[in-house]
Amino acid sequence: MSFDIKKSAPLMLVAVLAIGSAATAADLWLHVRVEEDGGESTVRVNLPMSMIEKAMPLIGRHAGHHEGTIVLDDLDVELDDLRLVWNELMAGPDMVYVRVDDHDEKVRVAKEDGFLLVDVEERRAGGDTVRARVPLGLVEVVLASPDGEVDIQLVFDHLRQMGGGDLVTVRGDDEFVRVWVDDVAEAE
Amino acid sequence: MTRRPSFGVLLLASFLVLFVGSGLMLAATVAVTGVARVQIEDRAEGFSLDIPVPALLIEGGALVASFALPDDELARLRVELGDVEPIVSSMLDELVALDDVVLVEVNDGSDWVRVEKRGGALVIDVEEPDTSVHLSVPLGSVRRSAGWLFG
Repeated sequence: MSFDIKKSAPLMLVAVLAIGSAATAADLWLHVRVEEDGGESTVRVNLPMSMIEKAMPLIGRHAGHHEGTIVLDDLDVELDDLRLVWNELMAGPDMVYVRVDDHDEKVRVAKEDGFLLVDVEERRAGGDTVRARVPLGLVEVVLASPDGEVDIQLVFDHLRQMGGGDLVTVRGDDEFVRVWVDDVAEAE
Repeated sequence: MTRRPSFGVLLLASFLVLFVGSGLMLAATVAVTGVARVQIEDRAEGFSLDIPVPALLIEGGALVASFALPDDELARLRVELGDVEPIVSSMLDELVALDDVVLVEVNDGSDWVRVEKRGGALVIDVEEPDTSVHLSVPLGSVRRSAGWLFG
């Protein structure tokens, strides 16, 4: 897996605005950390949720969407198909739903305590490890959006209910990405 | 019997009060409103620039512009930016209320950019191999200037 900070900048911005848009509490902060090339290249973002929320009306306005929304497009799967799979998952109990363990990689997808956990571990030397922990409610809000137009304020509300925690962690050969929410302004 | 001061002494005293007083007032105002600063150093061209601007001048400029700009031009500006201004203003309010913090820092090995809130100002530093840029703007002044123009 290769990660290019410059190419990923717009993606990071969307991540900041979209995920960060989800909480309102003034004491909550969205943090993004990206490191690559053994820490030679880094991105650090610390933004108060309350300030991101204030910027919400600007999102979507210039893209021709409703204010405070982002549109899910460019997906590899149909949104309806994704919703069907998701509904099955939500109806099911907490358990491991996917487990792949072959000579190339280990994959585990599980539902646990209100979170979707996705762990991918490449077996080759220096292989990537992806660990994603996404709140189920957050995914539900995103997938429930009509025509894939996600109301960021609803996403915000779910993050506020969570009160913080890791959202996504990706650890690779020479890159590391972490997105999380907590009540510390400037985290190391 | 007391001796009356001469006209020359009174004149000198008046000038002293005027100059020292206005100097102190200016210093106090600058201390309260802050100083915006732009520093650019281009090492390749051997060029450097350092412009400190009392924030009071920025606010004064905005105030003057609100009167000096033609009405139709100001109206056009307010229409174009009118719905964005409340959003930006509320974001500025949030920024003003924050403690000092690094908001964004990007380092790609050769270039480095940092945006932070420091001492009541928004501070942007950019370092490239041949160029350094430092920009510091007191947030309170930006907020008040926007108020003059769009309020």
